[in-house]
Amino acid sequence: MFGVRNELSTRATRLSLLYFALATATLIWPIYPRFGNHIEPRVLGLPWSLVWVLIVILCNFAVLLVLFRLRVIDDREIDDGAEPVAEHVKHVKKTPTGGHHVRSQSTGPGERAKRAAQPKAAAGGRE
Amino acid sequence: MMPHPLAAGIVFGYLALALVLGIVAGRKGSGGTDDFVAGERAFGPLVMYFVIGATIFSAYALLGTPQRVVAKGSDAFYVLAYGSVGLVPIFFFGARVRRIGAREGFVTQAELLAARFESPTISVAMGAATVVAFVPYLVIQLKGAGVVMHAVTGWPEQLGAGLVYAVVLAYVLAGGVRGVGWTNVVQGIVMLIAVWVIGLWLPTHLYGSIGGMFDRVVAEHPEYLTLPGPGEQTPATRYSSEILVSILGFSMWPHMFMKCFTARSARLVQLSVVFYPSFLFFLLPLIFLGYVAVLGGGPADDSVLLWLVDLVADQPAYPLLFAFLAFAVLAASMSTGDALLHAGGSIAIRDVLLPIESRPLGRALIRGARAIRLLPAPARPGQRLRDDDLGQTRAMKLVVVMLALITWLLLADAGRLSIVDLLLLAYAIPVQFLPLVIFGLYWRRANGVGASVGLLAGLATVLALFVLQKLAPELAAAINPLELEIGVLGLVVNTLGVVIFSLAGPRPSAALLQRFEL
Repeated sequence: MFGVRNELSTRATRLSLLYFALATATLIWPIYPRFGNHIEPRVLGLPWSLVWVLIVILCNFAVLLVLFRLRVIDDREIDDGAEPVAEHVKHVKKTPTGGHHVRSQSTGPGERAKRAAQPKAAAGGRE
Repeated sequence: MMPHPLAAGIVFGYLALALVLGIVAGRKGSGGTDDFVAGERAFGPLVMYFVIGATIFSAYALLGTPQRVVAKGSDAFYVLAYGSVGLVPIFFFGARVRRIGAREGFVTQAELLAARFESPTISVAMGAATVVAFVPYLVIQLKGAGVVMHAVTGWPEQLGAGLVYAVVLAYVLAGGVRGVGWTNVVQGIVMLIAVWVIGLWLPTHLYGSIGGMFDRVVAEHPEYLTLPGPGEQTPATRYSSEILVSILGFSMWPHMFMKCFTARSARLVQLSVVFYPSFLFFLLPLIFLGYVAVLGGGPADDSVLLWLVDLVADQPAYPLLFAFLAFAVLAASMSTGDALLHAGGSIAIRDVLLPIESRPLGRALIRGARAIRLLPAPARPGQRLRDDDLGQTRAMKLVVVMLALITWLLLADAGRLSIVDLLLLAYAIPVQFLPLVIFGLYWRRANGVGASVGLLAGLATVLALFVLQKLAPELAAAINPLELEIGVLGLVVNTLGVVIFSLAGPRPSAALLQRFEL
């Protein structure tokens, strides 16, 4: 359904979608009023109603970070062909233009190189 | 004589800096449309991060969050709640959107969908609805700038907002999206520091610690800490429906969605979603400040932040604190305002004008603008605006200026025109794009017939209900007894339309589906 051919990736996508649906459910009726909408217990002085929301934010952040690192959700860059070449030329052209570009520049090709080195884990394994 | 010399110094210094940074950054680009709209798809992680964060945290969030605590208590947590999930859809579809955009040369949301559904009508309807949704949103940003400039310099709001947005206009016009990106970095950093410093220092100074402050709230005003809040204003069901609509619509705001196109890589789009919660933590100090105001009996309007700082007017650090705060609100207003103006210009031309270029209305508009030299003469006679890159960029800049001017004029009338009402309409619009995006990207069967019917029916429902609420509130209440958000009702009609008419209509061709990775 999600156009991601790899089976592991499809399963990860489904599971994570389920997770985020549940995370949303914890923030609204009926779960939030039942379990979250109280003053006690207080954590670091903050009321539980606020702490509850902060915990959900932290959990979502952690899940997103793991998904990002594992590269299980569709992260393919543009497929081989004319485009990547044009892209590459653009980046090379840009390097000398200014200090600030150099920093972010380093992640672009670096990532590309890493991906080329381990095709199974990254884009190649999904084709 | 300025009432706050230090704050005035910092504010004017900052305006000058934003101007220089925006213009310098803008000179690096090639000057074409692709550059003006999508920054040549070259945003790195640092810029991308602050572009997303600073765009979302508007002057409305800054002035409105403490105000909401004072008025409605813990209902104000809803911003945190929807923010925790709101951008997540982009994590799933962002990479694909960015790939398709780069391959096909799309720079706006409507371009993507119009191509997927092979329907220029969709592009025109989306573009026009978006510009309508932007206007009240922009008025609020100008209002925030006006409030701060008034507090700092004593000038009337209209004048202060005018000056600030003259600067914004200058760097948006000079730098295109690249200028916007780099000024957002500065603005994001300023906001983070200013809000944390004030939000932690003020409660600690007044009540010993954050915990100490909440002890007082528990003892004196416990109703402000849980739903339904003071005066039982917010039942949990209503709070829930607000959160759901906000989550569904959040990633559909065209200026947010467009950021998928500006990132340097698909990975970067996902990374910015991952780090987005750090911007939510930045709202926490604002909530603390709201409770300080609850304890102190502060006003429940947009002056509450300034009222809070005045609590410590006898402190030696007061001028610095005030300057910081003024700076933060201004940065918030500018970083959201510039993104809206910029996106509004791009959308009005690429999504609305270009698709109707060959129709009589579009032709007349372009011919007229060329005749009075608003647009440059085409390189060769009869050249279409679509092929005239320079003309397109100029046209976008014209719209940006017009949009700023309209907003600024509306600001004078803000009281009478009820911006709050218009915001209701504004928030109902982006959520109507959701079925098209999701079905368009993930459902092979979705076709142009379904998409056009769904979108137009959804927008019409929203508009009709909005007008009805204004003109015949009783009839509106009879149709909508649960008082659901009008956006939700539109969404239901819209989704049904897309599904039913897609199934009834022809299958999209295999070649088309392949272009969209289906």
